Amino acid sequence: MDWLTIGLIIFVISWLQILCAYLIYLERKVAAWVQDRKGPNRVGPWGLFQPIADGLKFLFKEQVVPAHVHRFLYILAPSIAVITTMLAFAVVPFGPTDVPDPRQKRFIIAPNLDIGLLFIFAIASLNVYSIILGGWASNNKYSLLGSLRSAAQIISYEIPLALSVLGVIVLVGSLNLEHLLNEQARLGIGGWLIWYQPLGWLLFFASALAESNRLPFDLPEAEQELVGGYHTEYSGMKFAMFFLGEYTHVTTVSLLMVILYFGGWHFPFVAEFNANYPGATGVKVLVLWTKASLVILVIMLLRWTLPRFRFDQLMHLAWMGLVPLSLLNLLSVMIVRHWSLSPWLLLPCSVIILTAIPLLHRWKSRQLDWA
Amino acid sequence: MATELSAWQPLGLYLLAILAFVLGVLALAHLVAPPRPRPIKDMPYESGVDPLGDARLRFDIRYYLIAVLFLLFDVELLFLYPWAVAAYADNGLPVALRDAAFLGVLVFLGLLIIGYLYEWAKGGFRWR
Amino acid sequence: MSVGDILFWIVGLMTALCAVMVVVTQHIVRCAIWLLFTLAGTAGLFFLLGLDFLGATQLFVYVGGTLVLVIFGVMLTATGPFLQLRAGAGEWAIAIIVGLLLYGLIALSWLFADWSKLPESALPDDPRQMYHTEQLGRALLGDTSVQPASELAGVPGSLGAADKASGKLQEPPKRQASAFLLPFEIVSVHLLVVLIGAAYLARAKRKRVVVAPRESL
Repeated sequence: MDWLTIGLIIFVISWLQILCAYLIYLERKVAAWVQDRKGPNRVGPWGLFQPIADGLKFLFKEQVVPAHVHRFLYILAPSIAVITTMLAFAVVPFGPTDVPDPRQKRFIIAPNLDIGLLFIFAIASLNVYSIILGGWASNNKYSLLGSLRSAAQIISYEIPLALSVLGVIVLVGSLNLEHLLNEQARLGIGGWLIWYQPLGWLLFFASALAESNRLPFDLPEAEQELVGGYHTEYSGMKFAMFFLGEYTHVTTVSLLMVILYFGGWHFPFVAEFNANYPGATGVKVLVLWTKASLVILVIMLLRWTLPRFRFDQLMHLAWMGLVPLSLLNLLSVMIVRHWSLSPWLLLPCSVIILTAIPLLHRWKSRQLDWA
Repeated sequence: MATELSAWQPLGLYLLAILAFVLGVLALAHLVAPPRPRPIKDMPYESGVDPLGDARLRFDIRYYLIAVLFLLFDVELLFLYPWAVAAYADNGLPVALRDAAFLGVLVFLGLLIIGYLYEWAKGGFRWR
Repeated sequence: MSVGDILFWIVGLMTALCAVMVVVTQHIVRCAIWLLFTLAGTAGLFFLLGLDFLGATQLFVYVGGTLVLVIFGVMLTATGPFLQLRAGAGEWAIAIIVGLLLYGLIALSWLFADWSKLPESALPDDPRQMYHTEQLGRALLGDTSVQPASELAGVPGSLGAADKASGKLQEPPKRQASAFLLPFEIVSVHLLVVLIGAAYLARAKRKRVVVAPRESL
């Protein structure tokens, strides 16, 4: 039994709690800033202790289990939300993993997992049960509607999510996240995969947003039409657990995006691949989390920028938009790799696919509907 | 079973810790919070309207269809993942086999795309 | 007994318990949930045996995919009389007989298998070394120099093992070991057939919509 792992596990679990609490605070502050309000500002300076107050309130609120629900499934649903999202975090490196002595410092719970990326997708796909079961157990028509929509949405967007990442995997040839990161860092800023996979990144971003039920894809909640969707009947700690799951997922996705496309902890001059000045590890951790925070901030701003999709538009976007685009992206990567062409060709290729295909789509979509 | 559990042991520990955390939080909230059930509080909240009948109605078969399509593409993807890892990696597929594998995967993807276009033409993706 | 063995037994017993609960439970949705735990437990067993990719596949296809279908199906039908499933004595008897027969088959094949004939390469000390995703991919694409090698008799599609250094094809081995490239394409044809079937389902639905007003949600 090594104490490093145990300490790491305790640290990660508590860090995720604190992070999620403050992400909710940030979300409210950003919302307030966009809407020209002040946001939470009563508890502590700038409302900084608001998350603590919220946490206490969640704990001391009555644990309402309405009489009409299916008790076991009602409690199981939020637990699944927390367990799956937190488990997926286990294979995400949240700092540099090429430190000289991995027994002293480690920034990943399960190192060297051969199927890292696949593991995240597999575990995250289980999150759909929290929503289906939550909606079904609640015995509320809004909840059931919300959960059905959400289940269809989540399983639909899993396909473009997994397809868009295939381009990255063909380029690097590994599913191991540490390896994917180190390969990019080794090549410097020209190695960041965003240069070769801008289309893949865009598809990944859209699908990941849909997977985590964030606006503009927050159909399952859709306050205005479904009250609260699948969590209408939830309150107190169980309600908080759904949110814990959502924000943990957002964190995982942001880190994943930075690791897959933006070079992870690498930054030119500051955190190079073979930087070994004192404190380099700390700088790398800082760079990684700064990048991830920027992604989270973008996700939060998107919430107040884009309107919500209608459900049929949502499904059309997944099946008739993102899937063909990601297939084309994969084909282009395949061709470039097979004839060993310069990977820089992929940049114009992505742009062409992104602009040409939607135009073709508009023109062709009516003609294809002959049945 | 001489497997060395280098990656799975921390993962198992982590899973146990998460389970303990979830159960602990639920139990703590259960112990601390005051239970005060009331008839009105126990009703489903359907925007103030008294609920009519059971909420577990039947729903559209199309949700089922989406699940079928998802499963299909899922299986397809799982065949593509090992290919993507091995195809062009440094110590992956030997160079002599790459042409054949390229053709093989093109045929695989081609069949998928044919099926996809057929499904599209038949309106399997339309949601109206 | 090592830590791995203990973990394996714990997960195995839990999985078996969940499987029994699937059979015993009468509430159909709860039954589906026990099935969820059973399938996830099986994935855990694969992981513990070092079969990472197989475990992920189990999670992806069975837990994340097939079971969503099952639950949708259950939720579609689980209204009123179909919510509780009560099996009669006759059904129990048949189920027990069939179950015992199948179990007997597995037990017999396990008992009578000559494990000493298994080639040494099939069971290395560390399966983790053997079943890397990369190796699976190579085997899938026709490289017969890596495990797991398929030995389907008479299946063409063998490209032979390639010499890594020279990149040239070696002589095919005496016992015709064939690769998985052809099965790979056959799977693709199967999936195409299912896609066409799904398209047919969708079309049937659309016609009905035009005729009758919808009552469902």
